[in-house]
Amino acid sequence: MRRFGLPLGIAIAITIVPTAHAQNAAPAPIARPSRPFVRGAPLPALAPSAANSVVRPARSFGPSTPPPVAIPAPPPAPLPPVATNPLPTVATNPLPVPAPILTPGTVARPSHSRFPQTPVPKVPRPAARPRRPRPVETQDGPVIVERLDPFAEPEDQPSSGPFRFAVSFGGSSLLVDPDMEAGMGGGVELGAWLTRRIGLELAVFGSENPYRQGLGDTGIAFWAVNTTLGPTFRLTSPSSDWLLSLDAVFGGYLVIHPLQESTWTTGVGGGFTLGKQLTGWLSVGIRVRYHVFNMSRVSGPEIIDIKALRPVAMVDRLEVPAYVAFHF
Amino acid sequence: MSHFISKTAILGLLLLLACGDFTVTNERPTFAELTPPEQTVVDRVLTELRSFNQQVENYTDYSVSSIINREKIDVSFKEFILVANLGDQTVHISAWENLSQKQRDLIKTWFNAINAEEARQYYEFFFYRFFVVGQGAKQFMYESSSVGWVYANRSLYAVERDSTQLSLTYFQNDGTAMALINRGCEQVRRRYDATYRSGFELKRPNADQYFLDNARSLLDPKAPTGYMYYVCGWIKRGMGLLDTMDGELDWLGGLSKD
Repeated sequence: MRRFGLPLGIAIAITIVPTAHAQNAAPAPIARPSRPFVRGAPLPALAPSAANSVVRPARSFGPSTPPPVAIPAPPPAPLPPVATNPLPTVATNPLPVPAPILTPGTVARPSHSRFPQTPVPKVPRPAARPRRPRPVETQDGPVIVERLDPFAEPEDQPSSGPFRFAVSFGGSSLLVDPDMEAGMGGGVELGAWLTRRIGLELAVFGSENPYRQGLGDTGIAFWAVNTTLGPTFRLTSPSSDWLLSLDAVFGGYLVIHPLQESTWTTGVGGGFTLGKQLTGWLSVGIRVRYHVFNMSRVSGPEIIDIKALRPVAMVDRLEVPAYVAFHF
Repeated sequence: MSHFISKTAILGLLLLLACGDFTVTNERPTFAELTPPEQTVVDRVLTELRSFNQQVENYTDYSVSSIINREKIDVSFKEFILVANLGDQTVHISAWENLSQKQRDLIKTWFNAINAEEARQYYEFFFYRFFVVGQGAKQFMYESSSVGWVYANRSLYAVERDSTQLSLTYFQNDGTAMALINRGCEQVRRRYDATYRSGFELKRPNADQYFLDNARSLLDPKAPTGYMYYVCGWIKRGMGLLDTMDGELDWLGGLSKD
């Protein structure tokens, strides 16, 4: 009980203070006019308590008095808006209808009372006050440094749907191999943003790299198809038309050999994507991916190279395809 | 913890990049780097190629001297039963010493040899002489018609069949060689008829397509039993089509000129 003593006291004070204030601010009670009994004099008009009320003529014992006249009741004073008047209106409301006590932002419940309910509009919440930058102490004194929020602002809406299907086509290179030429490749990709910054993508990309020198005349090429899955981390704002993301992939890499059965190997990769949102559903860009594969063999024979007929160790490949993506 | 993981990942990646050579082609060892048995094989292969080239130069305007070079004969690879000339000025021939015991047993089975020594004699004749001339025949095709033309216009079936026919023509007057060919191939055909005959009996162009579609299993460098059956089948057919070296080279050299 002791723990809740102070808050409870504050709550009571908060409850009591407006009530007391209301009593102080309320107009003085209507004083009943004194009614000196003057024979023949008209009675003073009483404050109307309701529309169409009729003042009963005073009974006189002298000369006839004018006939009774109906005094039109003035329209009732409009109720002060509840939202801005924290005071209870019961005391000042001349109507017998008790006004509901509402706090800002609440809506009157449908009442089962036979009295009509006063509709109260919902008051919108005021906008959050911008956070004041905190001064940072430096050698030259306190300096206000604007802190960049790396995460999205509440009004920062993504510029496209969370899912995308992309078709890509572009160059690939085995980089350090002197007997291999740069080749071409293409693929498809399915992606989804799991959060505003983190996504997941499934990609299939195949590329052909022809041999150089003597083997180049044969038309034999080195074929590799990677089927990868990996996370994507968006660096730019989700609302921006530009996309820059860091990507990591891992998965199965198929090597199609001219002399042997095809071999599935494992591999990893990484890179970045730079894209431009053209419309809400269409974007274009380029993707740069560096792969290292043949790290372990999943199925098929050991890969041998057709130049020296020796086992091939790990292989790397750089892909730089352009892509067209459809968002939904 | 996450700092440790990221540090380990970066170190692992750097180690990975430092250790790998990341190539799909390896450099062949030089002749000086070969073992003595391998060097002997190279010399035997070169002797046969020189003899074949002499006939090529006698009957045609071409030469296969570009592959008559110690550095152009590749015998260093291990545990593959393979003969190949892909057109990159290199002849690949498996050395008996580099075969596994399982592969030697397979060769013994092919020729129904009574022991390893007899299997070795068959192997050395076929791989160091008969198939070497066949690779020289391919080189003659590449020289006379260009590598690109051969790959674009000739099927794998046709190239292998024609090189076998030219090799058979080359050895037709060598009684010892023909005795080994007949005896060895008789055993191969008898043993593997049930497995490969239906595919081999197909008429062209179905035979070409079948050979291409099944090339990876027929030419499997671990156990190319199917290829050996096809060679023996072509030899049997070729016996009835034997021509002179002049006529054979003239026909083969004129393919791209038609």
